[in-house]
Amino acid sequence: MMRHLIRTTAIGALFVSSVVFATPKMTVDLTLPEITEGQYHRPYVAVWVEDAKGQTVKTLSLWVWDEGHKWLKDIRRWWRKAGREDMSFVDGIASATRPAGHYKIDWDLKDDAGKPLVPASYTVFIEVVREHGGRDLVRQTFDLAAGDFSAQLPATTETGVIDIRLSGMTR
Amino acid sequence: MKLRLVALVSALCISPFASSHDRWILPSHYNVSAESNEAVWITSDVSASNQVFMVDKPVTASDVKVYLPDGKPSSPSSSYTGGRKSVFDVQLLQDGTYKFEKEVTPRYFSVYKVKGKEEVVRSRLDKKATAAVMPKDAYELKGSLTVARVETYVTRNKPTDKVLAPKGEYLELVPITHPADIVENEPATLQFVYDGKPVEGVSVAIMKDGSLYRNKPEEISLTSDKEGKVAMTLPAAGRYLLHASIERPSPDKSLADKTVSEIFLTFEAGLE
Repeated sequence: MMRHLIRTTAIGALFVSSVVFATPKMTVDLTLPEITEGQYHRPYVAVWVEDAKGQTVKTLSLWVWDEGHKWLKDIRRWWRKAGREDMSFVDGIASATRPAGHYKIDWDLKDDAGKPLVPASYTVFIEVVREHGGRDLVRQTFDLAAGDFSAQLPATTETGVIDIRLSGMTR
Repeated sequence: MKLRLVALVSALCISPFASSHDRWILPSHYNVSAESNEAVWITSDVSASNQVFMVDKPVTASDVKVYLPDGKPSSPSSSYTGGRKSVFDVQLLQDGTYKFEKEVTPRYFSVYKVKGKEEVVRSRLDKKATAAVMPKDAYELKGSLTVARVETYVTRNKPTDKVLAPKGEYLELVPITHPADIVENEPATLQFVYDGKPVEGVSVAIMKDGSLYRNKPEEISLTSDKEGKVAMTLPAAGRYLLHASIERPSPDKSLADKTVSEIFLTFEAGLE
């Protein structure tokens, strides 16, 4: 009985907090399209955020082939802006390439060091590069001081429609 | 046999005064990513040509110097001279930026005329030495000192700045924007120094790869400002050849009237 009460209260508290004190976050809904033309290799994908000066503040996702670092440079902008800086950081965030499909990437609005970002203008970049295929780089600028927002980026050859939502910002 | 040998020797020694030909070092990669213990091979072509990066005449690669990211000079692990180009290999073991540079040797060049003959006589000696060997009726003796730097930068993982520093002799190019950060549609700045000091009035010509396959050269012409700087925003990603030159009166007129200092730099502009 007591245990049940505790559990109910806990669930209740969780429910309340998610409604009233929603944690600010960004969600990137990313689709990697089915590509049937030519040789298909799973793409390399990097999703990261730069500040208004073009300095990287956070890499959200890095999906690469796990054998060596040779191909990292081909994710051209991400490599130049973030990757080449620190190889142990790259090893820490890299994960395997993904097949065509729908992926949801959540970001708690903290930088690579775990510190919350200061309210300012930022740009989220999505770079998709495929061996024997193409490369697409799409971006969306947003203002952390301007509250919630959502945007939809049109499909490119290597990316499907991308939905970007900033939520929990309204006080 | 002897004749053939002479012909070969002369073919291998491309005159540094053939200024109509651009000289260049073209590395296979400008920026590479590697794991810490991995050795990365870079193979480079060295040639002299009128069309950008179309190999034409071999320029020896045996005197190429490799400056390691820590600043120490090194040499290619091997090199080869062929009919139209030379090739050298370098293994990158350190992280950072390397500089590949043809050895810089200042060379004198003199010309004079002889009475009754229309043709100019050329000499590879300074004016004083030429005067000593030329016929008594020779006239209009002129001389120049030519210094050419042929160079490029290659970066493994994180770029470093040590090899970008000028040595303080003749004309040198100091990349203010790091070569690994030159990107299409983004402004980039280079600085020219002469004997280590910023120099105004350097003529700079920048040409994109593949001039053979377009009707117009599409050359970008710039001149260095008071701080020795040129600013450029390249319209497309790709490999580029930069030629910079400046002519100055020589300090010792008995040896040469003018000093011509040149730089041939190859670099890439990355995709946005």
